[in-house]
Amino acid sequence: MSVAERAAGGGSGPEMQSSDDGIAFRCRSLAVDLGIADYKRRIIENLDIEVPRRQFVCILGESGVGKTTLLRVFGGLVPAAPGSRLELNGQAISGPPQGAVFVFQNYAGSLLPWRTARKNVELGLEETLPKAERQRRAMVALEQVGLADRANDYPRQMSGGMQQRVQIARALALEPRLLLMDEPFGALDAMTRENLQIELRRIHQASGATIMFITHDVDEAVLLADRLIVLRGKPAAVGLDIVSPLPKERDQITTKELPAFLELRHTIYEMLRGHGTRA
Amino acid sequence: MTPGGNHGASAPPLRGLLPLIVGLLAWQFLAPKSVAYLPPPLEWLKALETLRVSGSLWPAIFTTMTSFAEALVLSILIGSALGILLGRSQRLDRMLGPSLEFWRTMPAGALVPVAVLILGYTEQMTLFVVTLTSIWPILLNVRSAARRISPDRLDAARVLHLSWFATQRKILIPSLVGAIQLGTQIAAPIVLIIVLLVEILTQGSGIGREISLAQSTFRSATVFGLVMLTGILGLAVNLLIGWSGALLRNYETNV
Repeated sequence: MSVAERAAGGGSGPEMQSSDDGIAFRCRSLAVDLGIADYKRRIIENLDIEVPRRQFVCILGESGVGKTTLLRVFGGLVPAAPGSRLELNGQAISGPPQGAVFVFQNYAGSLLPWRTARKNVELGLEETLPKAERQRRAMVALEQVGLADRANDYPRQMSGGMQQRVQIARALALEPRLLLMDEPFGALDAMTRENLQIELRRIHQASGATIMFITHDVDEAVLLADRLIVLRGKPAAVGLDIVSPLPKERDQITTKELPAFLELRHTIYEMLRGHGTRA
Repeated sequence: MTPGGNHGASAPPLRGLLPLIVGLLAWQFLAPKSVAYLPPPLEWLKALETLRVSGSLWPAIFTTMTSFAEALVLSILIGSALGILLGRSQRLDRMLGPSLEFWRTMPAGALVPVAVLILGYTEQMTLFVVTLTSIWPILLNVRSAARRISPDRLDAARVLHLSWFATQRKILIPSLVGAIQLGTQIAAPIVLIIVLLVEILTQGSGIGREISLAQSTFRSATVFGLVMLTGILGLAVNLLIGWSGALLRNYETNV
């Protein structure tokens, strides 16, 4: 239904096939400094990542390692240190790039409480699309996250999970080629989180977007990712970079019973623990 | 009190005026008629009627309310603009903060002589003194609200590629509507008080001048009548602002 429609729409878009080498996102010798002048601290150093189009990448790491900062650099919200190279679809990133949308953990802070769900989703389209077209796009996006019937509700009338879905719909409405998600399910209860994980997997399959997903929840990362990257060290660099052996179709019960799931989970935990004892 | 908090607080029912009316009635019927300085309420109305017939009542009300409206609009515009600037720019806040504290503690009465020296007994002088003393509730409310705006809200504007203008119009201003409204609700009675104070001090024009004139010629019923009139105007202003606040609250709601 809506998913198929979306997949057809996304696939036929001219931008989807426009680029060449199949790499959606690339960073070379990336370094990031936080603070100003004499108080600069190097958070991330010498980071190389290449992400093929349509890949679902989960980035893990201990709290404080710089995951969120890294994602904010990818989203153009924080500048990288001089000498770093950052590219989205072959174009250097300086400032929030076209075609990439950020989904914040704090849905309540990022949605506008005086706008209905539909008007929130339309926010990013208002300067570029005529009214009828953006309403249609907003409704398609809301349908994708299962909230078409709540289009006229205000965020305060919705549960946390629904509000986060509105934020995801707001990102999807822009038909992004890259979705940057900063612990989007971190503030939700376990049941809602599990439902949204599977939904996000489904949306990813249907939309054809590349996803970079930050989390500190190992089970979540292993369940969702096509590829897992663990950050470690101070300043942080890539400690582990593996492609998931799990089948594309995932669900909460059977996927988590697969030996490959448990093995991957074990590897990641060991990586995270190993760093813990060494430091 | 928080914007959008208590819906009942905006427009108190008029039956709350009952004690005042009972008091006035008691004064009318129970007070001794012989004391010249304390005329009963019906005499106030007669005195106001005399003023109306002489043609000076309506122009006085008009002048006072015009000054009030102009000063309130100026306070809202300047107070909000400064509040946004100071709330959004730490550097500006540090640079101007202490000087603002200096102006904030300056009593209106002390400003009048200075303002008269510079601007004379003019409408601009009244507006200057009134605005300078009544922008503070709006400025301080807006400043603290501007500081508290969720950074994610502004980051969202950036990642959704909103232009600078659209960010102000669609994110920043709506985020501050509640604070502006609350500041206005506090500032409005202050504006009215300072307008009257300046009018009384300078005997320039408006209701304040009529009060001052009546007092200096010992027309006590006129003084009481005009004071009551001022009270009624103040009440009307408060009801109006409270009512507009209730409308706005449908627009801006707490997160």
